[in-house]
Amino acid sequence: MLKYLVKRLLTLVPVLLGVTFITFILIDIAPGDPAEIMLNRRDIEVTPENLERAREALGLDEPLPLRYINWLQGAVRGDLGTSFTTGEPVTREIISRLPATIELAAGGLVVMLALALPLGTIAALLRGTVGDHLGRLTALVGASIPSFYLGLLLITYIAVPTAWIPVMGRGEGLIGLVLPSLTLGFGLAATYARLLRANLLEVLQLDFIRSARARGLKETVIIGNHALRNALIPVVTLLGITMGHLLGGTVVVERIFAWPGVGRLAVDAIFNRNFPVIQGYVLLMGVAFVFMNLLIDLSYRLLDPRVKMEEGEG
Amino acid sequence: MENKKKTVTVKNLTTVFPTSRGLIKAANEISFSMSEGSCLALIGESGAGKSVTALSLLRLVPPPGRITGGEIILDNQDLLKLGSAEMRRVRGDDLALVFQDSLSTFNPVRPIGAHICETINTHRRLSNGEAKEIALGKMADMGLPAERVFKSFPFQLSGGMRQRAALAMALSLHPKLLITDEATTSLDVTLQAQVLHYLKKHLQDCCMSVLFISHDLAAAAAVADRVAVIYAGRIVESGPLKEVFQKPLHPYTEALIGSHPSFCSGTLEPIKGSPPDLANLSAGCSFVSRCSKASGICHQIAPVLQEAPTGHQAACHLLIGKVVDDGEVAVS
Repeated sequence: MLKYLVKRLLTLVPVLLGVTFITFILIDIAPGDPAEIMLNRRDIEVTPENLERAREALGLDEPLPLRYINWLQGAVRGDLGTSFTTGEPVTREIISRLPATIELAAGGLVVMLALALPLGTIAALLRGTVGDHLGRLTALVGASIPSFYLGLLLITYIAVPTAWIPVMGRGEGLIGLVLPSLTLGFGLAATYARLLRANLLEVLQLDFIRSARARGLKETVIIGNHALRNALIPVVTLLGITMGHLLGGTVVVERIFAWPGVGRLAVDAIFNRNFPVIQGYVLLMGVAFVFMNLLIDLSYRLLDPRVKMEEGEG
Repeated sequence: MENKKKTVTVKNLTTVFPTSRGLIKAANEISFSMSEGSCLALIGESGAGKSVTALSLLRLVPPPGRITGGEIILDNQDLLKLGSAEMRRVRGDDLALVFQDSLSTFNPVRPIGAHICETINTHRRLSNGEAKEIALGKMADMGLPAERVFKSFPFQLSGGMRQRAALAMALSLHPKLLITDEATTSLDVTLQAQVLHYLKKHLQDCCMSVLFISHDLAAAAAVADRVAVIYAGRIVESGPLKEVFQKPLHPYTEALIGSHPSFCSGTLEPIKGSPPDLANLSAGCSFVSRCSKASGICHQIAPVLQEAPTGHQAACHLLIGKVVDDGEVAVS
């Protein structure tokens, strides 16, 4: 077990190196000069001398590989540089906004599971009926609708008329989390409900289900104790990849609902060519993604005892 | 044997499957009865309707198949008249089934013991400890290292151990009728002998009946006291084991015995041709195309089961002539 964990954590190193290096190059070739943007923001005249000085101040006068190595040396010590726009350390900026994003991602996950598990199961049980077709339609709509549009719909038709759900921002308890979480989780819930339905139908065809019926088990027990657990194994596997979508989705949702998380920080940073913040955000997402997948793999082993066995032999 | 209480009586059980090519009668007017402590072997080729008969008895025919008629009397009640909740209570309790593939008997992600306890707790109000006690006891009866098997997952056991665990599970509630559907077929010879031994021992100790479904004549001969031969969905011959194996009345039974290494002293004679298309049965005998003794009437009229004085039945037009030739009188 420990060996497995260490092995998995070691894979973090090449992943993070790759991700951060690619971002470094991408930012560098993207149009827009951060020095110029900074001068404009501060109402300083853009002259070649001023630009030169600004670049020096931002550390952009050095060649790219050297800049990357410098950044890496800092990152290893937990220093991700300072924000071009605020002058604050990037680490502190990210950490202060991280709780809001974690809250949102968790909310999205809860919405997703709370909708997908019962809906997928019910759809499988009602296979071929009107309910099943309605579910399929809802899922299609849910999976197709872009989250920015769903967010606007929810604001227009739920938040504004009811007036007791906040339209924007965080800080009014859990109620403020409802709409952003719905926006984030709904599309994924639709996909997962369909996936669960398909898996469940497949598992219900298996011989051990027939044998469970031959033992006189109640249908609810057969589904709850036998079918669902087997049907969830592929669902959980996919969850690892979905975590990435969920975290990426927070960027859009945070923008719509003025949610003060790292996603909005990243979007603002991109507009301002705020290199250190972008870089820090990418690093954070990389780490989060790898850890999420590790967590998923561990829970996968709880669901399926055969996985544990394979690892024991390997 | 005849004085013993009848536990199971099946009359004219018919199960059909609608297909694009027409209605298939997978089990066609199946009738048999069994008494306490007896074992009936249902033998026949693949696709003859053995498994469908087993699933029909439990009313677990996979859709779109359905039972269209007949009676299944178990313990004085007709199972076909029970509501679905009542039927569910019979399954696994009075009526247990062991499948061919023990790997598919168990949920791959749950330990063996959980399955057995779950079955017991479904039908009896017992504490978890008591259920475990029963499970361990039954597994020990099967010669299994009970404690270890109880905690093991299906994939951690050998096929033989798993099949014995499946048998232990089926026997855990003392069923009145145990159906084993090719339950020993996938085992190697020594394990097969072992399982048959346990089965026979149980048969004697408990007052249950066993419907032993197999295509293996030797295995059937080892446990059964009566035999029913099924062909194209119909029982074509039935009777006491010795009678049927030594003096088969139906040409199919004769051919089946002739094609089995342990029963045939001379050269092996495979049965020519293949079983008929069930969606497209002719008006006559279903075996007619493969029968070496077929005459005109066999092509026109389907024979019905007729009884010979020995208590031995066969569905063959030749039966009348055959029995008369032997100096006996056929009773129709």
